[in-house]
Amino acid sequence: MKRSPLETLSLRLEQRPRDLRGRLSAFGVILMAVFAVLVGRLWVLQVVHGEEYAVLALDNHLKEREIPAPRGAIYDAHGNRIAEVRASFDLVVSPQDVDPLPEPTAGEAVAGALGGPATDEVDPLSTRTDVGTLIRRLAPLLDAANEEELLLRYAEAPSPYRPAVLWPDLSQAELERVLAARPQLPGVRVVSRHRRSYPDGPLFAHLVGYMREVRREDLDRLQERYRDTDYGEDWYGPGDRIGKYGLEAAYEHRLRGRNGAYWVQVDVHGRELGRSTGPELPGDDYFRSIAHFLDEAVEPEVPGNDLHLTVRRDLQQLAVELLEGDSGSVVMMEVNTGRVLALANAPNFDPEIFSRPITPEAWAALRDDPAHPLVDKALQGIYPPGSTWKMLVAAAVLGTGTWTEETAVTCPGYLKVGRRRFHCWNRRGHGRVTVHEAIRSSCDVYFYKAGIAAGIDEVARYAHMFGMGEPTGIGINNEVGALVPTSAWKARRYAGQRGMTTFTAGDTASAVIGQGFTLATPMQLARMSAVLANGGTVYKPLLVDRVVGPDGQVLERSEPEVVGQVDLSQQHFDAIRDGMFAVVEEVGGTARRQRLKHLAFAGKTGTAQVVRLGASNAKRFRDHAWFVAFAPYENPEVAISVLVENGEHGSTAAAPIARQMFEHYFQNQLADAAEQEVRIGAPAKRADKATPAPAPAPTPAVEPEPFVAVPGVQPGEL
Amino acid sequence: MPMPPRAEVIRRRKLRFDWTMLLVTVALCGLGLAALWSATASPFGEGVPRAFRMQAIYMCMGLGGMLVLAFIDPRFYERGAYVAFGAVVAMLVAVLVIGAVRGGSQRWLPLGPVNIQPSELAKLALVLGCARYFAARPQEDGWGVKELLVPALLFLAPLAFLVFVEPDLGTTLFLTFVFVGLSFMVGLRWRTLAVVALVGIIAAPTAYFYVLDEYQKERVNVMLKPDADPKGSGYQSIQGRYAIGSGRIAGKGFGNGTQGRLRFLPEQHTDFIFSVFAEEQGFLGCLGALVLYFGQMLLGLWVAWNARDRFGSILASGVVTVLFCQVCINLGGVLGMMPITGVTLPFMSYGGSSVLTMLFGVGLLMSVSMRRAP
Repeated sequence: MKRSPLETLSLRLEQRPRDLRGRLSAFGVILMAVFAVLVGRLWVLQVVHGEEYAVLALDNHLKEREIPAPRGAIYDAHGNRIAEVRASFDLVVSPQDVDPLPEPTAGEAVAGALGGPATDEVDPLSTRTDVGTLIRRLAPLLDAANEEELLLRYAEAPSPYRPAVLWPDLSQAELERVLAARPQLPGVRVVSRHRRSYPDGPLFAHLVGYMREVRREDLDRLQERYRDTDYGEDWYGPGDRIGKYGLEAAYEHRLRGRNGAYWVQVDVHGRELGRSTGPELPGDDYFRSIAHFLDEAVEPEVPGNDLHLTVRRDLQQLAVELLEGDSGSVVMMEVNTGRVLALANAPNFDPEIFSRPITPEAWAALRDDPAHPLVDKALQGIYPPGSTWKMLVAAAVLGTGTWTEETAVTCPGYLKVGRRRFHCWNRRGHGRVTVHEAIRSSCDVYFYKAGIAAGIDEVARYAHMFGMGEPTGIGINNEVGALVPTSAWKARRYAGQRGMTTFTAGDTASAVIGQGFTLATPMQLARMSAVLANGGTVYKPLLVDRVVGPDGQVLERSEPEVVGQVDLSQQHFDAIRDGMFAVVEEVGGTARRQRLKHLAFAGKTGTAQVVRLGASNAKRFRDHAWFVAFAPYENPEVAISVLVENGEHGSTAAAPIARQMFEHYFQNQLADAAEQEVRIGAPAKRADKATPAPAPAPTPAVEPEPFVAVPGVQPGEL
Repeated sequence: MPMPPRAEVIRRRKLRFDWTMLLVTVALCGLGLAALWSATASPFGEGVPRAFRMQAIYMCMGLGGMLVLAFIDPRFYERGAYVAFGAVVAMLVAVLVIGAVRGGSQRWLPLGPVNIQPSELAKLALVLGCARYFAARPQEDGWGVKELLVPALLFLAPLAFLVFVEPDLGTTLFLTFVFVGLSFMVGLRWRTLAVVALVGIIAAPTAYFYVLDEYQKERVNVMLKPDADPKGSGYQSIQGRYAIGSGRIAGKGFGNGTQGRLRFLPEQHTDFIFSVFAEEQGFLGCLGALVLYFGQMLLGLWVAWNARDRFGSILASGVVTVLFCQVCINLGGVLGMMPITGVTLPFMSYGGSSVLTMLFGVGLLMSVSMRRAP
């Protein structure tokens, strides 16, 4: 069937698919509609919600990384560093680098049920292993780790790409073992971090304190507290360390720096491609090209502020050495400023044991030690003050005008109060004593009578004036106020117990010799001694001289702060001080053996019964030994309190410590005084007596040189 | 091949090359390559990625093939339609016998150095077969279910079955859509269409509960509630949305898309290539791309409108149907309006078979276009 070309063409034209055009139009309309829908959807995603998605996409690939800020250092008064920051090495593992725990197979389950160990069949040289195997190999390398604990820490990893700290602060030995075993520990890394270190070990244990990892439950509270402050909600994060004790806790907000931050760009696997720190870093070209986050500035870290203490390392060291082997406390402070020069306890502990996980045994040993090494005895220890209380009773009986300096009492060795006989420590009695002899010889009978004459509430009033019965305000370690008993206190304390609510004469007799209900802390007694020395001004004890910013700028300088004034005439003060001088100077003085040839000082011994009528000779039932003192006698500079628990006699156990502290404190002046044959701080009349009048000298060598503080290097002022 | 009649020799001199179609297609290929670069190039700058090189080669091959196809008379295709159809069916059978298995499906036929995916070619084979069948049978009063049964059994059923057993449910459904689309173009009765649509609407939930696998159900769920499991099943959809949305109006600029370049998007160089593109080019760039896609389809419809004969017209509208289904299903999934399926985006998604198939389809369009009716 052959067609002509014309036929073909006409046939073709006939075949033109006009019948399909309706559907083509319909399809065209559908196309337009779908186009509109897609464009509309894009509009919604990119224009309406674009801003939100841009932020979400940014969160994907821009991560904030911390630049840890070093914590401020702590210096003593002479610029010795007593707390610093060092590098520590933490053992970390990222979950992405290890396999998860394998499901226990039937065999292992049986082995576990039988208590047998599952066999370690994994090839030790494989590049990856599961976390269980890893931890099984790690645990023996670490000194105090067990597998469950390591597993728990592993489970705390914040994400597969962020490492979990399996073991913080490896010791040198642990570090060496781990590094040597590295081929068997695929995925384990050692990273370096800042950590607190105390070069003097236990020397400043209670004073400087220690740090611990912030607890989960505390973290919320901290974040709440700083939410609306300059520091910001994220000032503390998980794993951060916080001062828990001592100055570390009290000055936490000063010492703690503010971490800086930089931004890293990561891909979906968490690999870093660049960071917003500097253009020289690898990957930075790409980092620059891909988006605009170099605008995200690096936030530099702000190191913490340094503390410069009033405490002197040499005095602290000496105090700790003198207390060696005993349990007790030494507090030494300047009488005219309140600056604390030494605040030492014995026994103490190494604060660095808290910088790494502490073994249960080590913790139990510290906690259960009968000598209570963890307790800051100077601030938290409440003790019967014994005879050191007598100055307060003297102040009360003189201050109220009940008695005068000349009022004399005869001490037959005891006083009968009601039916009970209160003994003087000297059963043979002191004979006729005034306040001078009573203090000198620590005559109990005089003070029984004085206390009863003045009344317990008056004694308490004066004690309060001297700052007893309440915290001194030193500002660390939850200092306690101890107790100054009053009749009102007893009525309250024993309310409802018939016959117990009245403050009897017997109670008073006990209380006024620093026994019975009376309690004090070594800190309080040191300050009492300072108040006696300076004639009635109560200073708040100061520990921190100044806070210095990282740029050397002094942010805070503490000035002497008067918190009270004792309402007592200088004549009365002189009488009491004279008695304290006699304690050291005169025949019959309880601490006469501690007399120094070239330094006149005043003090008072105390011997406080631990158990009434304690019959046992066991050491823990022996009396506590006290000595409070100030020096020099004239123009006093420093005051001290010394407590030796179970030291038996203040005169033998405590007073020598105070004397040696003075000797050290005044060592330069004492050398000069020895050369010039003078006596520092001696009253004029006694100075004549003690040292023969020097030959008419061209210079008035009798007058001691003005006392200057021992010169020392002042840090931060270079 | 017998000597062509004289009239055709004359007409062949009046070939009108469809420059617009070529331009649009090349432009789309260019956009696709740009997006693929961002989706595959390492941020560490480690040379030209293999996928990009391969895609460029496929595109060159495809454009070359497209031009060759464009210069061949459509009547040749009409004659060879059933042969081509048979060849593709043979390939699909071969896939089941010797095909490479990847990800649990047997879809790839090893052909020398490359693997080709005959299920992509099946789309064109269906169009060719049906075009010839329908062209020869004009129906004055349109097509009903009864009349459609024969072509469905002849063309759709073998392809759909062979693809289904690979298994590749997505492509099976895709072929079905194309078949329905083709029947619509040749005059499927509105009433029949309504019935088909109704059956589809009723079948969808039934299929959801009784036919779909868990992972397929999950995709539907993700579409309905993308934020239910953002780290798991919803991850793809959500990250895609972050990418698209964060492009905002002007886009982040070429090579600067963080979602894409830092690999936060799974499947970013294949099914989700448009997210990468949208992130870097923004709303304006997307608008441009959509204008190109839909412009190409409208051009295709214009070709069908002016086609010299029924076969050419149906062939052209069939190719447009394929393009339309590809674009709609892919973008519907990427933009979160439909479940995510494995349907590629023409000229953009990485994949030799897909690129070649789509470019060959455009070649068929151009062939019809060059021999437009006077």
